[in-house]
Amino acid sequence: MKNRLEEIRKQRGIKQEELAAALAVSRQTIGSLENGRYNPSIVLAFKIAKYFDMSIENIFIYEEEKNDEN
Amino acid sequence: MMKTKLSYLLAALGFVMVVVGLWLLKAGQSDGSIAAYLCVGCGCGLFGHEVGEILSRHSMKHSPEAARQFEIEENDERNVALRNRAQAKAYNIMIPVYGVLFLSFGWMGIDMKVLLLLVAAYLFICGCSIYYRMKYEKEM
Repeated sequence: MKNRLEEIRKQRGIKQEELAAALAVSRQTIGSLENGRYNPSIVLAFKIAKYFDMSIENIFIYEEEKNDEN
Repeated sequence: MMKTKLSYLLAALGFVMVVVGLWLLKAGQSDGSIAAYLCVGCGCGLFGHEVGEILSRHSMKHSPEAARQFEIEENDERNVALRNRAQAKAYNIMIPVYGVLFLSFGWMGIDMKVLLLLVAAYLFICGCSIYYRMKYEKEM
């Protein structure tokens, strides 16, 4: 799942450490989320959305898995 | 506070066990050698673990920021997921490794009682896995 977390965070001038502290997660988790290596739980996704005062859909982009069967 | 007291008590117990074990070994009582080694082994483990707990609690008490960071790291959902995944992988590897080990023990002709005990422990772990699978199925 792709996300706009890094873009939104940088727009607001927030450091990874600050975001991590506000969400009570480790800085590595923020890094992994931004790189797309880790998908957050629904609770963390809501926390992030609430922190930025945005909807989850505006931060996380859900892409349906492509079905190769024709 | 209660936990700290218990840690001090257990650390003291561990120390006493080590001293008693060493005394038994020095006394050269061959009949009590297994008990002596057990005392030294368990005593060292208990003493080390509890002293570690006391020191950790002491440092956390004097550094609230470090304590908060430690709690975040412990409860961080990615860290929890990584820990669970690593443990699950290790369990999956353990099952065939132990199976091969027991087969080797069988061919080596080790005492049947020991072999049966090991197999019972192995089956117990497999049983635990099934039990927790069913338990979590009801919860989720």
